Amino acid sequence: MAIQISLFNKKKKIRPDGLGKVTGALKYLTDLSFPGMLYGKILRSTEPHAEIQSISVDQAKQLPGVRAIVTYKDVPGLNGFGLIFPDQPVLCEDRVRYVGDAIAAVAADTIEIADAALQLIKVEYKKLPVIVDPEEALHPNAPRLHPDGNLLHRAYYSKGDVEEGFQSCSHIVEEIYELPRQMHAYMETEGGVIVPEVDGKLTVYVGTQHGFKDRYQLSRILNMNETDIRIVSSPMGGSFGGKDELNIQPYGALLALATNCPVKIHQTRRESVRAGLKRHPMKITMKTGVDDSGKILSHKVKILADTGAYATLGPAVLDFSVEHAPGPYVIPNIEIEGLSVFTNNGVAGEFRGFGGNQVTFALEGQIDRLAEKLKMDPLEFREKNLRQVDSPGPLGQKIAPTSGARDVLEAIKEKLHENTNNSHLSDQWKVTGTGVAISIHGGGLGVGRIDPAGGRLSFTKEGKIEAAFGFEECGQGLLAVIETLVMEEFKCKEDDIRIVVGDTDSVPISGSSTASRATSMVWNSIQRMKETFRDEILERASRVTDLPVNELTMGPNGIWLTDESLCISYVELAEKTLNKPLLKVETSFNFPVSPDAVVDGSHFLYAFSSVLARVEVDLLTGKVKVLDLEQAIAAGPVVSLLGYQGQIEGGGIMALGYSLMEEAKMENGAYVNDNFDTYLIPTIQDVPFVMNVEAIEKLQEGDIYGPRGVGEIGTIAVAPAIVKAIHDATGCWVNKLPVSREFLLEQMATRGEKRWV
Amino acid sequence: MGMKEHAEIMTPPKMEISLTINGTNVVLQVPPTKRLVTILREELHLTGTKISCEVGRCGACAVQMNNQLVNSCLVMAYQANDTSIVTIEGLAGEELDPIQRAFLEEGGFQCGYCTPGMVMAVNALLATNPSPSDEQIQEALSGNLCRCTGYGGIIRAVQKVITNNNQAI
Amino acid sequence: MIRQGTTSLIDTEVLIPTSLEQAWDLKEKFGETASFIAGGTLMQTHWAKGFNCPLYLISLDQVNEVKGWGKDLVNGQSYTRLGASITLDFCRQNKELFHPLLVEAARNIAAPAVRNKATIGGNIANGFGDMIPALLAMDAVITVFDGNLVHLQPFYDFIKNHSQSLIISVQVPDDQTKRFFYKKLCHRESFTPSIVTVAGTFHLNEKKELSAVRLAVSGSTTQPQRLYECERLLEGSAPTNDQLQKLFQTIEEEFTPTTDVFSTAIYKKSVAANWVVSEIARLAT
Ligand SMILES: Cc1cc2nc3c(=O)[nH]c(=O)nc-3n(C[C@H](O)[C@H](O)[C@H](O)COP(=O)(O)OP(=O)(O)OC[C@H]3O[C@@H](n4cnc5c(N)ncnc54)[C@H](O)[C@@H]3O)c2cc1C
Ligand code: FES
Ligand code: FES
Repeated sequence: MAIQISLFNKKKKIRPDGLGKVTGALKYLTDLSFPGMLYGKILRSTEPHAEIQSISVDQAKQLPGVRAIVTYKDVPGLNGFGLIFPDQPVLCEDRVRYVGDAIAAVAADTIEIADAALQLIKVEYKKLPVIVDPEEALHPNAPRLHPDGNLLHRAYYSKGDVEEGFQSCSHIVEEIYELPRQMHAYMETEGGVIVPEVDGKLTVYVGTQHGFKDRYQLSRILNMNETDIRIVSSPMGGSFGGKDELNIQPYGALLALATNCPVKIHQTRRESVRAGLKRHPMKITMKTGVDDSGKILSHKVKILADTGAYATLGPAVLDFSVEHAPGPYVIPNIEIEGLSVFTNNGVAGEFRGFGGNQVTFALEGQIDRLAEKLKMDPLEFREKNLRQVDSPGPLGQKIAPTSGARDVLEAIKEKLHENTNNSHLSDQWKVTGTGVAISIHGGGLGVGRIDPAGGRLSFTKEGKIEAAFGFEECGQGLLAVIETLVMEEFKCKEDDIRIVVGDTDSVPISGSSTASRATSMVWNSIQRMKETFRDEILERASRVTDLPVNELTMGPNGIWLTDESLCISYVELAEKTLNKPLLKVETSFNFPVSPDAVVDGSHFLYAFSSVLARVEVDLLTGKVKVLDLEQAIAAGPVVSLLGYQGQIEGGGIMALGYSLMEEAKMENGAYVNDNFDTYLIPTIQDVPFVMNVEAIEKLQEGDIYGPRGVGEIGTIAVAPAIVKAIHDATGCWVNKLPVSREFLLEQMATRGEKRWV
Repeated sequence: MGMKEHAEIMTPPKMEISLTINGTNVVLQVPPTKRLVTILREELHLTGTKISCEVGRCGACAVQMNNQLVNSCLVMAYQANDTSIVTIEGLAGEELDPIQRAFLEEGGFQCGYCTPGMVMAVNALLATNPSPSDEQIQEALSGNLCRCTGYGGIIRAVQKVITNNNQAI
Repeated sequence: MIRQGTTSLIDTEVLIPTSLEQAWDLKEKFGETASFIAGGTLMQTHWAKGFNCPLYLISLDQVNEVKGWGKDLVNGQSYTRLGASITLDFCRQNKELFHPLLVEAARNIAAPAVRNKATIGGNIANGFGDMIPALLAMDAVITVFDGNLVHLQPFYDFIKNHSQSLIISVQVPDDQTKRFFYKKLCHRESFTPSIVTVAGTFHLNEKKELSAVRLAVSGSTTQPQRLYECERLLEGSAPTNDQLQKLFQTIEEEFTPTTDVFSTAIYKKSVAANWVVSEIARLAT
């Protein structure tokens, strides 16, 4: 049993981009080459914090084969980028704030020459004190990393009176949770080719999660019209949020313009680790209290996020954490304060889960500890405090009614029953345990944010139903989603469809492929366009065939006479209507938001998950192995079966890594692990051989929003479930990820030793 | 500045190597330490072989050399001399290899970047062991990282190939 | 091109001698600027970390003396000889040829694609390889060439002296009667450097007394070590709970691992002690 579908069983469809992927024929953007192409390399700071006293490129320029070197002097437009505000210099002029800061970029005939040229660029630094701890950064005497100081963003929400609430509590748990800096570790590092076109325009073949946003940011930097820049952004070898922000594009573009040649940059893994975004390390203090009956009365949260040197999406991530701090529970008194703080560490930004992972780890940790204090079954305790169908959202806002929270809890309860019987112990030095956690996760960018969506359906001259969206295929299976939805709606075949994504010159505005929004917005767009499109195409068919329009229907290969016979193929219809204006339907709308939300970024549509983890803990080493990982997801109808399952399983394993092994450690502003030898992600040996995913497809009656995305939800509740399972096995509570074996071993040893023989 | 002028300064020692790649004989003048992955991707434009860690830690660049799985990022040109290499491009004939088909059907990939290496690793396993145990599957694929799938779809794909093979017998 | 840290190395030359003598002469000629290279798997990871890549690489691929395997008689005892260029995967896959302890050690190293190139010689020569504790525990002997002579020496002398000789082969006793264990701890289930590796062998008589005890420990940042004190402690006795507790303490005293950025020495000691004691308890009682 691999995936259970509650409502119907969908055929496993082969992805449209599958063939190219399994044969290796598909060209990723880093696989491209062009005639006369040069290779680019970026010189990054060796210092985590320093003044730049001088940059000398003279010697490097002398090196034969070097075609161009650019520094801050060569940035024609704004020397800055950032999805929210452009505080990160494209090329640093007088100061560096982390080891990923770029100082110069070189284009040369070969990578080797470019590498050699980097060695010849001389940068004189005057070291400045390095701030590695967000708490220190907030100290009034700390050096200021940015003109407005070191506090990037503060987010605050309160309701009721927490202190008063605590007065009435019979049990209070107060803990500090620490979450690590996780690396996206997409298998394809950042890269691509930037090509100057003969007409003076620029084509940027580099993966991103939002082509139009790249175009906008690049136009600012290059001082070019947006329409003179074309972003081709698919396919990509993974992103997970990490390629949403600009990475190598500005350097490739500057070099391409400087040399008038195509320039390829493909970062090595070490370059990628050093410059790339990471998940925000957070320190979360939570104080939560319950009364005797197990009602949560008061919940006080403080979140301190290390956002690194620049803003990127730091403020939005923090808002998300704050919003999700109450989780799916109804709590009368709440106070949440979040601070996102600049340091000289690596830049933290968008990462699958978007701040939900960290805060859910803390929250579910609190819930389990409270249940223990109450001597109450943790599921029963959750149930008692769980939101109802019509409960407001976590921050009191009106949200689309949903029974998701209860549904996932019920589902996991069943799984727990099934699971408890099969604990077979192979070894006297191993103990096993089971843990459960649940989560809520908002989709879309949230209220108060520009969050447009849209799409286009057209009937091409070649007789294809063309579906165009401004979303990107990062690997998640967007193409399969579009294909499935179009096929379902129009009953046509794969061959009848042409999908256009990932090219700003030919796609409509759909917004970003982030925040679990793409699937949901494709579905919504099609709902908005389908009638008009169908009416129009049948109308045309009717005119061409002289058959009454109400007897015609769309189907495989063409237009059918009420399901019985094909009366005209799409190709023929196109041929016969060549002289007519192109049939094109477009829609644009905004991602649905809560009508009364007061806190920026809070959501209207939510998905839910529950996770059951069973672990084995080795008493001799403290090693934890996850034996079972099961998830139940409530996110509306399943669009693409393999895609859904893959997102949840893949997300689950990414979170398993987060729980047990992943940490991009920094010492004094420098990365300790720079490649996959020490930055460890799960291998096939670290995962349960069989995982189960249950999709709860149910929506409330009258829900018009369709499928919610599942790109992130599978990563959220895994860590707390694993940690609870460890507790179940050993009696030790863990507050810090990744779980330290050393800590566990110590804890277990203090709990008395077994006899050796 | 022309290509010629710098040639003297940045020209490494070269050696002639001769190897078979996907059945075709290739003779190249390359620096002896040039990596096979670079030769494949840049000289021969066989970009199905991917590059990700460059130190043997991910398997994205895996190919078969004399019927054995190797990381092409760790093979230097002189080591590839007189060998026979099969890359992902050399796996399918007229029809898809059953492994490729199973990956398609079972969702053994998402972004697909690990897929060529993964498929080569499965191929290497099944060539010597047509019905491996779960542990053997895990060991054989332990050097191939996949960040997208969590390995679920990959495991199901491999199991499918094995079942199909067994049924065919 | 291969890289040393962030630099591409373009002028490295590869020399391919066809005999031991030639290989040695080349090494003499180029001295510090040259290195032997077998599979090159370890060297490339070192270069990637920024360690110096020598100007000349002396490949051992065409040196016949380091190839193959077979049976040798040493002091009247039968040994299996593994040529230095035997790959780890060959060792892993050929259970019928090699002692299970060796097979188990090989299984714990890297992953198949790396093992197909990685050699035993390279694993030993670098001083930190995971084959080393297994070979130490097996009382292996090693055949080396130092320019003049091919000679045999106890494996632990070779390791202790950080010998720079050319490794021709290692020989392991064909004794299948000893009990043995091998365990390696990584930061995930597999395919990572060792935090601690332990290996041990001993004879057990009918009275459950141990003899010929050999215990070895190592780690990717910890020098391989024989635990002589512990061996002496166990020699000739049948382990009781008290004695095993004593063994535990002795390991913690005798084993001197390093603290690195990912694990402390204390942790490594605890794991080594836990493992050795639990394995002895399991195999000897
Ligand atoms: C991804 C990856 C994972 C790895 N995992 C592990 C692991 O888990 N455990 C582990 O122990 N190792 C590991 N290694 C390191 C390495 O692969 C092994 O140690 C391997 O056995 C080295 O063999 P080689 O033939 O490749 O050595 P090379 O790299 O060729 O040489 C290593 C050293 O040995 C010297 N040398 C080689 N042959 C001889 C000889 N005959 N005489 C004298 N000196 C010689 C060389 O000069 C060099 O100094 C890993 C490497 C990689 C790339
Ligand atoms: S690129 Fe070769 S193993 Fe990672
Ligand atoms: S499919 Fe993306 S890494 Fe495996």
